[in-house]
Amino acid sequence: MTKEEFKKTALGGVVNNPVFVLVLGMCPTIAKSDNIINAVSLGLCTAFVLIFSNVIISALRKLIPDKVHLPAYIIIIASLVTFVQMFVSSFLPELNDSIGAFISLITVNCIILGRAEAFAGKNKVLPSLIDGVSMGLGFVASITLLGAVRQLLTMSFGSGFFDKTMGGFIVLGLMMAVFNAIFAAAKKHAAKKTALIERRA
Amino acid sequence: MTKTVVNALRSMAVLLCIAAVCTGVLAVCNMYFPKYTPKLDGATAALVNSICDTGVDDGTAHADGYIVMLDESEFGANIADHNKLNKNGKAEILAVYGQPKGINAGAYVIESQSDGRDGKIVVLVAYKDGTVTGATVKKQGESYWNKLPSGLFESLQGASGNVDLNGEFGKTGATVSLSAIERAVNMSNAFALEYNLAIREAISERSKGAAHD
Repeated sequence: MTKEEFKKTALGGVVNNPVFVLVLGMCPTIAKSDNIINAVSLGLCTAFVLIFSNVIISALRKLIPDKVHLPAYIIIIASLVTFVQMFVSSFLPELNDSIGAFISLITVNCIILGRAEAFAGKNKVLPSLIDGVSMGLGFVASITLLGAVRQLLTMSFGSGFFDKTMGGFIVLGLMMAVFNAIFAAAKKHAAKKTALIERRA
Repeated sequence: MTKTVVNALRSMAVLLCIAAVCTGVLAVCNMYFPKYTPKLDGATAALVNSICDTGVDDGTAHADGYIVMLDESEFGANIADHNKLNKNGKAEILAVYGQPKGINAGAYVIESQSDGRDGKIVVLVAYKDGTVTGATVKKQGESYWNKLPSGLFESLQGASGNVDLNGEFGKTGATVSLSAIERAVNMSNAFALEYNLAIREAISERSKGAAHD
């Protein structure tokens, strides 16, 4: 893996942020970002499944026949999700009461199957691990940020709107706009800088 | 054998291997991960106090023995055997809490569970003189919990035999959760009917013990 490839993979969670850029995994993102604790917990559960599914799928990619790669991925992902669910219900029962219903939905989260299909199934274990960590952290960061903003707004304006689905969509939309505006500005700035260096050279 | 058949067999073998390994790992985890065991902690004492008032605050009720967890030997039951015998009821009795002192001395609470839509629903049902005085939920992770009718647990007050919550509330949007609660409550009611006297005697013994202390 070259330095350039590492940089590209490691920055995947920002450049291709699963929530703000790829708009994947919206169901748990909206449903459980009503407060920061739920958001962080669900984000970490998803990141765990994403990292390990990427590693396992990447390690088995040559053994899995192409025609049955999707059912094989689903079995691996569902097993990891079941493990997370068993762990949470055994060791964190209070957390299980608040996000338990959404843990099983991680199986069908587009981010996980998307990364398995687009990256882990075609790359070696190390790049897949880096991709999983990067995408997982990107998801945790974005859902945590969304949870924090929604909780702050709920605390400021009272419950009934920002902690509900409709408010969640509005906050997410606005945050997406801000994220993409900042990202576009940063890209423009970087392009200008490169052009300047090239001109000087 | 044609290439297609070989490929199909290979695909099936790979899928079976992956499934077998995953199932094996999960089975081992299931053996070693701790299971839910009922215990009388502060939160449970507060729930018990809310459905069957002891006359004192939750902390005092828990710390000063207003609410106690009864051992099955005290009322001559074997809960595991009882659950095995009644497994058709699709619910389980988990524990019995008694109130040896307080304004409702002699009352008791049965903890039972049944499978909901997203895991087990644990229900507490309080009894005095064999009839239900209150009920609440201790543990649940149901997706459609907020669709349950308001006043569901209040409607159980005064019941003693089988209850028909689905018949009473009709379509709710949380049918599976409601059915689980119904099964758990009916199991508790059946247990209370069978062991009412024995449980009350056990609580009375505890009261005497507390008085001696």
